[in-house]
Amino acid sequence: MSKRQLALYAIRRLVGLLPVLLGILLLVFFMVRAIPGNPARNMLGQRATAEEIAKVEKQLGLDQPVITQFANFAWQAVRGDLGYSLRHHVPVTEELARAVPATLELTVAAFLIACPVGVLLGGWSALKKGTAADLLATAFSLSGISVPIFWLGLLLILIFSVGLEILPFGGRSEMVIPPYTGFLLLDSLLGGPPGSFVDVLKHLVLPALTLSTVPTAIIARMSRSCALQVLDADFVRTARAKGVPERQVLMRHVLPNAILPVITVAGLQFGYLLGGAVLTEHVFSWPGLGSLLLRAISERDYPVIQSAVLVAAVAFALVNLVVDLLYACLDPRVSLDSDR
Amino acid sequence: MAVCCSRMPAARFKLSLFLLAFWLGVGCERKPDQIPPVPSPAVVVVAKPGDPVGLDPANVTDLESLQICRSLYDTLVQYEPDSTRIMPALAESWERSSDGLEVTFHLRRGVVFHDGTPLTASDVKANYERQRDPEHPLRSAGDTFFYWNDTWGDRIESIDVLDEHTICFRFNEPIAPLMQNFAMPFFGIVSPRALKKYGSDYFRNPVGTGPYKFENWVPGDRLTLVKHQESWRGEPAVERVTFLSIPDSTARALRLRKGSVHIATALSPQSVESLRRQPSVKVVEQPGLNVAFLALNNQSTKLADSRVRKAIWHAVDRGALVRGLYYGLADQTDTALPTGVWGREETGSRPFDVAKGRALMEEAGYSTDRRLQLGLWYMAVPRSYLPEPKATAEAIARMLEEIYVTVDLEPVDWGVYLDRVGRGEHEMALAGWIGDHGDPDNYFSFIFGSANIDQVVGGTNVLFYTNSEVDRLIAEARREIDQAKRIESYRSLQETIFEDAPWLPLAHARQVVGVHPLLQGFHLHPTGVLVLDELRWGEP
Repeated sequence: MSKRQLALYAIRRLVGLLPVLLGILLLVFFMVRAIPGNPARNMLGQRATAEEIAKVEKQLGLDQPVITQFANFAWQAVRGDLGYSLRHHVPVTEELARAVPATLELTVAAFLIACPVGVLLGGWSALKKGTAADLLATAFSLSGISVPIFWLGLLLILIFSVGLEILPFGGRSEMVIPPYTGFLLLDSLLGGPPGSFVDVLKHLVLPALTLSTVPTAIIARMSRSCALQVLDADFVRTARAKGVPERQVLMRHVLPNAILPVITVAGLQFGYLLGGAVLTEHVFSWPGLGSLLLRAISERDYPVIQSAVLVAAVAFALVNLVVDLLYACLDPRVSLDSDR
Repeated sequence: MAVCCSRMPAARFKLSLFLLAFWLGVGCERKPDQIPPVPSPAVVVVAKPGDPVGLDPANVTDLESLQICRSLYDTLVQYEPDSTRIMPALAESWERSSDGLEVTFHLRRGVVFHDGTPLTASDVKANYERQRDPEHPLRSAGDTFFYWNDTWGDRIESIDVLDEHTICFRFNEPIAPLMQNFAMPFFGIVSPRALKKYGSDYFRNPVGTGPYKFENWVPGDRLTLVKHQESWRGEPAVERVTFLSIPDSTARALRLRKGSVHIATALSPQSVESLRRQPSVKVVEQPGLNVAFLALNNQSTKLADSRVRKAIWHAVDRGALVRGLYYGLADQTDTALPTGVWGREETGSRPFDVAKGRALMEEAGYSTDRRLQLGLWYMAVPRSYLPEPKATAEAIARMLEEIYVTVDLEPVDWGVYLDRVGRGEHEMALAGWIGDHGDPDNYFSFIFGSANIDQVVGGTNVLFYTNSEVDRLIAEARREIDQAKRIESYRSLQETIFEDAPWLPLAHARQVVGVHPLLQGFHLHPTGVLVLDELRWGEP
């Protein structure tokens, strides 16, 4: 596959993304308007007069036809203007600029745990198929999918924060770190007080561990079934028959072939996590997209709700695109022309 | 099999490790906690469920903001730390004219804002004029001044600065809860110079005269205040107060028990009982200014007969609701005024008595064969005055079954609840009222006054109760400035309302805060605000 082919493929996919983004905009806009209640009334409270409500409706543009409202919303969204928080009276972009790096940092940390652990666990389980180790790994995967996240989060807090007192309860840091990028690990290195990097890292451990359980389990199960399929394949048998050392068989023949479907699953999981790990963020007081969304829903802060959902949906679409491109790069069998 | 057995020890070892960790974490929970050590230096960490909306007192109504504003700002007069009685604050004395139309405040001398500038009568005038005058230069985009209309509206005729430390307010009609109004947190005095400097960004750069001044705010995480050394109240004993945003109530309770936070607010009622058993936590309770009630729509023909309304009183076991659904953290009530609010009088009682309720219904023409069908609405989310709305509605529905009433339960989204109930679309609905400052007028006029019925936009009289005698008594008590006469009017008012039974009052929910046992000088005000002025650490 040439670089040119890949570039063309990427452009084609990007163009294909435009109707998806328009669909997302439409869905988000009408979804928020389907929520019962009048935003102006909710903003002003029970004692507001009809005149006060009408004034705020005008300020928010709610007195205009829905089509006009959508056109304004879409045009402003394209320009990066997502309006003002009804409750906190600050630009929504300001709130997102704080929440998105927090969620991204947590998601990447969870992903860095989930991918290697999931792949190794799945591979190990496939190699030891039918043994107690396989059963244990399968049990672990099933529990990972089944255990409620909020329960696991609280359990980890009980063990490591209350019982052993080795990790903090929640939050991103005990220290005040100047927000250069919003990614506290990076900010602590760029200009945080001494010891802040370790402090941020310690705060990241439990939420990342909690958030990683579901993707770890899913990746492990996927890796196991893919590895089992590949281990039974003719070319693996041939390689073994030719006397290729087992380590080489696994690394050069099994892994590259088994890993491809795992990448797709892992990518989707990353997209889901970016959508806001609501429960994990709630339990660990993590000020990310999930917490923002939860707060906005409870406060009926419509501009924040629609913007948070929009960001999550766009992130998901982009992650999907990256996964497809990665797939095209890694698998020579993927025909770029077939994607028409 | 051999393979399996050879691997078991490793698996067992891992399992044992996990169980050990579990025992360490959970097993040790069964022992009562030790009292956590006093932190050094003198800091206090407060865990709250969320961030403040802003720190401009004139523009906030949420408890999270008001709890912090209480430490940043002072009002002309203030509530006593544990009641709604009035005591001096920025004004050390005041005189009220005999006609009740004028009040003159004498400001305390030597009061300085956090930026070092002195407080003068002109600063106080600028604060009130900013909310009063739509064209005031200190106004910014986004200013809402939610409470101005309800509190003052256009009743202030003039505000005159008599000298640097004297200011006179003149009104065009007597306002009975006048001093309570001046003590409301929305009228905390902010620095006009800071307002001018920061404009619409003032809400995150607050400058007041309160005992603590603003240090920093990491949204969604923490907000820190440091002591105001020149506070007129004296230098606070605590150097720094940090407010942490911890949305999960279990996490707040756990951190309090381990001593990493020293005050935890909004504890779940379910956790309070276990916290009481921990020596590491002191549970502070305070009757709130709220009342939860079953709103009976008096305009509905089904509820027009007072015997039916009285039968509902007898059929509902409110004691059981308080014990089971408020977890004991509430006071059962027969009146609108919460425990501790002056003027409260239990003018009568209709005890839980199903037989009596059934008899009243039979008198009204109902029986097993002719049952009354009523809709009961409840909000889908808990409120501070009603922790379990769904379970409460279900319990009431079951209780009413006993007196020939068939109840159709309907959950209604909170976003439209107040609108729809305010417009009178309900037959029965769970509702509540949270008082602003503990003056009886603030309850009676909003809940029972016919002026607060609004079937178009939605009003606060969700009972749709009209009684000219009640309206007359409300108006009379509001005009009167002699407290003894007001008490007499409110006694008559409570008698009339009890006799009419236009509603079923349920309970006044108590507020609960967990505090480190060695922390002294903490007060939880009935308005829900945290009073941190006198905080200090005691000896272990």
